[in-house]
Amino acid sequence: MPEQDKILEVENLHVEYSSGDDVVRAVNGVSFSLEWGKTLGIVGETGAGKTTIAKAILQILPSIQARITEGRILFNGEDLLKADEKKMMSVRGAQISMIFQDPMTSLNPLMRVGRQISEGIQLHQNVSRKEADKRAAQLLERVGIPASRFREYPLQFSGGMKQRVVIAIALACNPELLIADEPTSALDVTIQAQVMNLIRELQAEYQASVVMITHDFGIVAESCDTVAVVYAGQIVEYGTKEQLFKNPSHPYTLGLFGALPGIDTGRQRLHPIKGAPVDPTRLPAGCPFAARCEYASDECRAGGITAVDIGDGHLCRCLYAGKLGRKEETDTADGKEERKGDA
Amino acid sequence: MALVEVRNLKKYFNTPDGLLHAVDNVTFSIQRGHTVGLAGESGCGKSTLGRTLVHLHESTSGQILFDGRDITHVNKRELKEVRGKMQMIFQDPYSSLNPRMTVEDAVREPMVLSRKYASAEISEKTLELMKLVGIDRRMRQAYPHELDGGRRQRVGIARALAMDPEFIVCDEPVSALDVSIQAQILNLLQDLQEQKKLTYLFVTHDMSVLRHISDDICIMYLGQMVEMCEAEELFHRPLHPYTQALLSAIPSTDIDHPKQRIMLEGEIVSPVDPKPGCRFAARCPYASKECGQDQELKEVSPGHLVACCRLDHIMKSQNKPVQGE
Amino acid sequence: MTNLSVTVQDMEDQEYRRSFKDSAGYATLRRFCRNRLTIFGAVIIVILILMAIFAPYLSPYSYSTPDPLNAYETPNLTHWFGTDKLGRDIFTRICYGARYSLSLGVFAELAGLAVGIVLGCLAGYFGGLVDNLILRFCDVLQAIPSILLTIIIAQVLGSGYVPTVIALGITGMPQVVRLLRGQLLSLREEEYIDAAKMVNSASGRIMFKHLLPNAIAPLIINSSMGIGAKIMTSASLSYLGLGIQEPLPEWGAMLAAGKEYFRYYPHLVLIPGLFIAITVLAFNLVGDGLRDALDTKQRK
Repeated sequence: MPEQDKILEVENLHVEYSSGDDVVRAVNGVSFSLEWGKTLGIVGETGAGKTTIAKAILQILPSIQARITEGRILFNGEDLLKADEKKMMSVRGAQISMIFQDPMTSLNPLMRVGRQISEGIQLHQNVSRKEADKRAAQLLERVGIPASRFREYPLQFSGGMKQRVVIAIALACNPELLIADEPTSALDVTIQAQVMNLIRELQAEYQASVVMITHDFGIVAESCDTVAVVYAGQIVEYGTKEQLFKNPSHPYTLGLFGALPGIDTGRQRLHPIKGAPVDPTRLPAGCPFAARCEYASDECRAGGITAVDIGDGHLCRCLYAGKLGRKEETDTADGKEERKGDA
Repeated sequence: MALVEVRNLKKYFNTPDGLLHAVDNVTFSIQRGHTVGLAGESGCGKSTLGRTLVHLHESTSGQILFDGRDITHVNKRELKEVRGKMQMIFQDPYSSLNPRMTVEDAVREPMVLSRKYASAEISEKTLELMKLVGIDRRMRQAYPHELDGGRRQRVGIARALAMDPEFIVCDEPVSALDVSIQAQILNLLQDLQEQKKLTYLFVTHDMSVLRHISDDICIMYLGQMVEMCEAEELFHRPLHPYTQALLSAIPSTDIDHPKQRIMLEGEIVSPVDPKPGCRFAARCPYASKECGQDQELKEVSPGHLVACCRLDHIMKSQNKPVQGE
Repeated sequence: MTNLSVTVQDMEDQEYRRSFKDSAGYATLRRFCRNRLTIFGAVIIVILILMAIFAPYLSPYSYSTPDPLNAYETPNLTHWFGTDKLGRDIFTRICYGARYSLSLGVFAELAGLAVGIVLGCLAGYFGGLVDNLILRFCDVLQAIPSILLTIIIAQVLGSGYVPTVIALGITGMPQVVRLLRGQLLSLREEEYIDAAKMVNSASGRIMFKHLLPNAIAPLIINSSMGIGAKIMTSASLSYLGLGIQEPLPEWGAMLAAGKEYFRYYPHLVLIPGLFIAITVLAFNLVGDGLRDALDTKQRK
């Protein structure tokens, strides 16, 4: 039996999409675990497979194109991939719930916001409509919306307010696990701060564990305990927040930090990662990052790269794991070279 | 002398709900060779301001001077001339290129239309421009849907450069791009500025990007400028309560020193028929009765302009001297 | 979202030459061919076109010469589809009838497209008063039931081939106008239109180089379905005695001629009816296939 201090364990997850003749290998052997009450950040760029991982956990992948080819997803020790749809129905929304990226499209425009919250309560907790409505009104207040707006429609709400409603819906049934997929990237920065604050408060209050999917290292730094950096459907680096921010080890993570314009640093040249993200229909045999990596050698392209523990569970999927460090600020000329090389 | 000067510029839109004050009485200038960053939240009018400058919108009132010449109202012939000098780089690399035109066609078009060059010259210049922005010549026959976001944005930049402009409005040129690509494009823009002595108005909501690229920064809120100063000064000594909140809201990657955050209540609303007075007052932690009257930009220290009547009070409560240093 | 960069890698691998195989057209064709039903529809249309072209060679009979001795024959080996009340071979008449039905459908659709594109462009580009006038005109046309409108036009212009084409073209036109106008309005918001303005493109160039080519896909889909509908309407007109008339072998006219004998000789009605149905179905299937093949959203 797996240990019960882990609420979620994902082991060697593989997901494929087929579109026409192409097979997109969106997730390729992802493993991670999440402890009770903690927050895991999944960071990566567009198309890295972050959302696919989330959808695989909830099993809401589009069933026609997507296929989970391998792996286990243990939720409280139980393999969700073996659960039937009826079981999943009772898990989704009640034990695991999700906050989607775009608050504009994740609410039903024709339904009063209060009812959208109470519907889930009524469905999962077997209470009367009246009782469900009452709890929904309390939740609205809790996320900072006056209960008097219970009977309004999403149209009458601003973006940040809608995301609050979405959060209220997600929390309606006291879920144990909350998956937040870029919950603030559609919002302005002052609103983003409000919403992130709310999520953190509620997480503490409800003692929920959170999987936070984001592309923003700032959000990771402020709200996650452990971090997984995803590239081309693989976790390239995995560790606690301190390990990752103080000792980033994978060339991709290093590259991202170099490319990030920091608010605290002055006007200086950035060090971009050369090239463009790899095409997931044509993953190379070796390291998928090799084509963009400044340290890549022939061995990297040959393959057989596994994640290496470089100390206290800090995993790095790189042949040179532990041998690379944060690069010193080098001369500005190399940025120009990179640009030429990129073409 | 300033290359671009804007005086009391207004741009109002008629909407079913009333008059939308997208840009309301904005005055600022851009020095030749400088980059002015224009920041604010969505709906604050920053993009409208950029577009009004290059005449994609007709201004409601006010004055736009380019190189000392009033270009607020121009006829068709003059407009052509103006656009030879002012160009724009667009936000969305997926919608800023015609899906049915190849890379080469897109870059050539401005030169073909300008009738300044012979066709052999155009082909040569097209390849030159593509090289300059870092697109390989092998890709000249590619269609936009075959390119990733970063390359598309490079094509957009090449197209703008084909007009040989002096001044470019960059309308959120990197917000649709991933971090690794974003850095490539930012560096490219900086290199081009150096090489071609370009002047930029850089419109963005991303303060970190702004810090990397700007010489001067203007902060907008609901169609009005609330603070203007040099970039370094703004990040070290933000004075307007909105600027302070905006800067404090940005998540920092420094895990050892968590930020003191100023949490704003409420959200930005659209400035339809706004009431007189400070537009930020409804969300401002320092608001008082005085804020009911219109705010004017005042120079509080050399080159640092703030539109807030409660500045003294704010400085006192934050234990900061009102005058610089 | 993902197969975008395939060609980019191709380009990096070797000197990139644009052949037909790399073109957007080829990709569309490949998507079009992927759907079996679409292929089925296309094959039927091709067969019908061949029947129409080679009608004189397909059967030894004349479509118009009566042969009273052999009237009302049910389908048999010498007369595949039987004969009508005057003893004319129905297979022959169906083949010749395909000439009328198909060409009517196509020409009527083209006529509607031609007028519709002009008006749609005017409305979509200029907006304001022009847009308003054109739309109200379309409102009026669409407020009259299309068959009634066609009847009125056919009455005014008389019955026959050309009046039918004109009548069908006019009834189909408002839909083209609305579709194109809507497309243009949304395309006008795209940033590449602003970019075109920034490099001093004249309005004509923006219209023909930047707007129209990107608005054309929905029109093609609509037209394919439209041809089917027009064939149907033209058959109805003939049936009502307003379109193409006996002795010309239009399918609708054949239906009308056979209706009195339906109880005793059902093939007189069933066979032309079947051909109308199959033809309309084929055009609709092709239209659906084109929608899938041309839909740019799916490609993102």
